[in-house]
Amino acid sequence: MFEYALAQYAWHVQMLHGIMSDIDDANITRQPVPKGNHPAWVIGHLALSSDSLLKMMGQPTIMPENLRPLFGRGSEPQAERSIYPSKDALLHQLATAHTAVSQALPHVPREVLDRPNPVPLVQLQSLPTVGNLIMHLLTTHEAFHLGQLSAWRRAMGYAPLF
Amino acid sequence: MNLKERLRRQMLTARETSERLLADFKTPEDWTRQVHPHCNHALWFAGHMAQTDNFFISVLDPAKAKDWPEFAKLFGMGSHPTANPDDYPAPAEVLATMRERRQTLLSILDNLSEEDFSEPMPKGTPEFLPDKGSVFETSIWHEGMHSGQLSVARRALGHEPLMA
Repeated sequence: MFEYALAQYAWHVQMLHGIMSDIDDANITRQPVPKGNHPAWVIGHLALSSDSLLKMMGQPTIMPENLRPLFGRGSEPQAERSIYPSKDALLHQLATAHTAVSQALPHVPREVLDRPNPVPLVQLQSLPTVGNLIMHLLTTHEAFHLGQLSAWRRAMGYAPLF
Repeated sequence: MNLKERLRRQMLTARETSERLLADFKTPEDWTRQVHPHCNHALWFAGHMAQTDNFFISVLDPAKAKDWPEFAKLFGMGSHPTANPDDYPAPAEVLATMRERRQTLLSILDNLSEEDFSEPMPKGTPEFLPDKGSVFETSIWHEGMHSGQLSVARRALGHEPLMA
């Protein structure tokens, strides 16, 4: 059921490494568009989203508690570089969460996938079950934020990658 | 919930997000506003969604695809957006085309069975589309990625995030 979505999800990590490969650590909180999402926030936010997937699947979460307020829903990206972990640490956090999700998802019982979507956002009303939400987070949600990084690269003057 | 229902819901959710983002672009200048000369703008996004859906339609049901070289030139893969509204059809026309192509793609989905999704695509189809199911999965992913770019153009107009 999730084979293709998991393949895309794995590909996102490769894409992210490509997007970030020529970006200096000092620049990952730059905001060429005021209030725009910068790489530090996007990577941390995606790691936290994967962490929430682990929770939905009944798995242990791995994001350190002190980082959660920086990246959760409603958090605002800050230009202050020192409040975020390093680029490498963020990428590692994301990769670790991805690996855990990819290993756990094939074993999640159908009964869990058919439970009601626990996220009370009006924008996600068309995703009524945990299974729908998982597919959304694996694919559309990650792709959406990768698209923001694509635009961020261009706005910063880096070469377009996609 | 079977795969077909899951794909349909994902396609609808992705499109609902795009439509909400697009609703904040009002003037012709909003529609072609570029954060940077290399960035895609809202009108390019709408046309590109139509162009890409037309491609997906062409590999699933060629008789329903449109042959429109001028549209492809403006919005196809590798096209470069310009900030001049006069270089493009009116936003309402592009939006209508985007919506019509999506309805056609959804009607193709509705006529497929669960077994059809694992049917291999014809020879000559790009290898990232190995079977019919992957066409719809790619459409979802593709829209998500470009709507992320669109969200940056919208943010540059001063709007707050949709999902704060």
